[in-house]
Amino acid sequence: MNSHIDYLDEPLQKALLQIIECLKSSYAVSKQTLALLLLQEDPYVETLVQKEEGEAYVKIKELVQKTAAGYSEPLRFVITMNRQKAVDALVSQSVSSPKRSSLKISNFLSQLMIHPLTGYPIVALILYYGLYQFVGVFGSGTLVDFIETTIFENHINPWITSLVQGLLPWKVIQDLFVGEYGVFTLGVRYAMAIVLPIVGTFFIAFSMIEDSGYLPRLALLLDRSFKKIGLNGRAVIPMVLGLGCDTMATMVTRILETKREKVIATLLLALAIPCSAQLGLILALLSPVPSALFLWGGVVIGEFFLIGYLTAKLLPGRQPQFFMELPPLRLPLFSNVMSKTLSRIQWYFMEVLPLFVIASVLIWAGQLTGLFGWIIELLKPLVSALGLPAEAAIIILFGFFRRDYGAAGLFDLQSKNLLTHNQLAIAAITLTLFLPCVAQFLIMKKERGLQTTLLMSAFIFAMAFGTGFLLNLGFNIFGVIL
Amino acid sequence: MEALSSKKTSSLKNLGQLSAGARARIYALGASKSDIQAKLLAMGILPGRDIHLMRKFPSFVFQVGNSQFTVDREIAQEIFVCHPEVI
Repeated sequence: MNSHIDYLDEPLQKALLQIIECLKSSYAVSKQTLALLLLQEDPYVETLVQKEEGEAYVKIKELVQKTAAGYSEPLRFVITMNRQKAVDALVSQSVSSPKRSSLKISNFLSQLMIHPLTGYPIVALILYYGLYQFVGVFGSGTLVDFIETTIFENHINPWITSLVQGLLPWKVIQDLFVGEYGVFTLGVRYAMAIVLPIVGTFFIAFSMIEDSGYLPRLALLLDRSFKKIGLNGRAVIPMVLGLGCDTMATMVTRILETKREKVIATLLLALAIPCSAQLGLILALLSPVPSALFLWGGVVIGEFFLIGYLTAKLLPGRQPQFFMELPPLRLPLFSNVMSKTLSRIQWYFMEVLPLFVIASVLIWAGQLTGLFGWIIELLKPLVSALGLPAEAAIIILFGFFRRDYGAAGLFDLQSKNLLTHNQLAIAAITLTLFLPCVAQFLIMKKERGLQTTLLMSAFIFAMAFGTGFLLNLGFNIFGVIL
Repeated sequence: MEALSSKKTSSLKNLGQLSAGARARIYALGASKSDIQAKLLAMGILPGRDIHLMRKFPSFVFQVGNSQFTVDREIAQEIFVCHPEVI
């Protein structure tokens, strides 16, 4: 067997061939690649080969150590330098580069983005226009109004209702599909008319930010702050994505290096990062009462950093390291942004629509059997400890299914003028901090394991209600009226 | 290549000791933290290549070849440099 890796030193070539000889099992990648990785002591490949080859692995390990003893540097270093020398020789023969004429504007913009004095105002601008104006005002305002009122309430709902009432003569079954909590009138309407426009606009904004190369620049700007909560700058990617969908963001915590960082990021996403559906509704709900909006923002951001700081103190493990390549800034391509957005919406819908339908069916069944009323009775003391009216118990129950579902319920309550400003602020804060939606709970279980997830959920439950309770207490003691 | 030995780094400057805007040549990579050395090797930040330190705050930003990278101080301190004419 001839080695094709002819850029290596003589002793390395020899060791490589000997290791290839020792590999008897069949592998998904070539034996030469495996041997090269074994020489570099790649932990993943070492475990794999140890499992496959058993006894023979000892011989391989000896070979690697004997070869390494001949060099003053680690083999990983020697091999990389060997390879680089070969690459440099090839490049100098075949590539000529013109005098550098890098894009002046993109360099200048990049400098502004990473300079602390101009960088933070740029973050604020992007959040204001990308998130608040585009997702909040346009998505959850204009688009939701149009789809919900014009399309659903005026056209689809009356049509489906009369269709179902014509086909199914029984009131109970009619209620399942088109009643107050019906599969169509509540489940499908919430998903299509409220969640889709908000999440869709968010994913468009996120894809554009992602493709422009801005995220690594944001990461380097925030690395120092994130280190204080046990994370590194790279964690801005799941955190910003979490403002769209916490479930998707919990999956994306895989890009973080250590288990410690993954645990902290998962907890913070579940506790203090509101998803776009929730964010859109809460912004719409609280923007008429600026004092409540600021209190909500202050408490949620405050808990994000406080809990992050405390978790980082408590969890053992090494400090995270931050390293990223900074790609050049580019104008996002329309077609790329659209195809990414579409595939994300598709994923989201496969996750969300069934859950909304199941939630509607559960509520219907719960009401029919009286279980729903029983749970609400059970929740009432908890709700009144937060100073909220009994009707808010229904919202909490909704919140168990999905936080955005709960926020939408809060929206209904507010439009009936059932809440004071104090109650509105408490309800919004409690709901934002509250347990993740069912989908996120399932992803947390998949990524972090059942035990960690149950512990986190219990903690979040206590934090959400504890915060609501203390706020109410504070309002009463100091006579605060928002 | 003898000169690249990472064991002689005590008398050298690391990236954290340069000022922003400086140009230098990478002389060695710290060997005490092998996980950091592995990351630098994987990114192509290698002895003998020229480095341009662009920023030190809020994070380190530098250019090697045609690529720009950002790292924290802990990693920057493992990149040892010398005057471009030394090697």
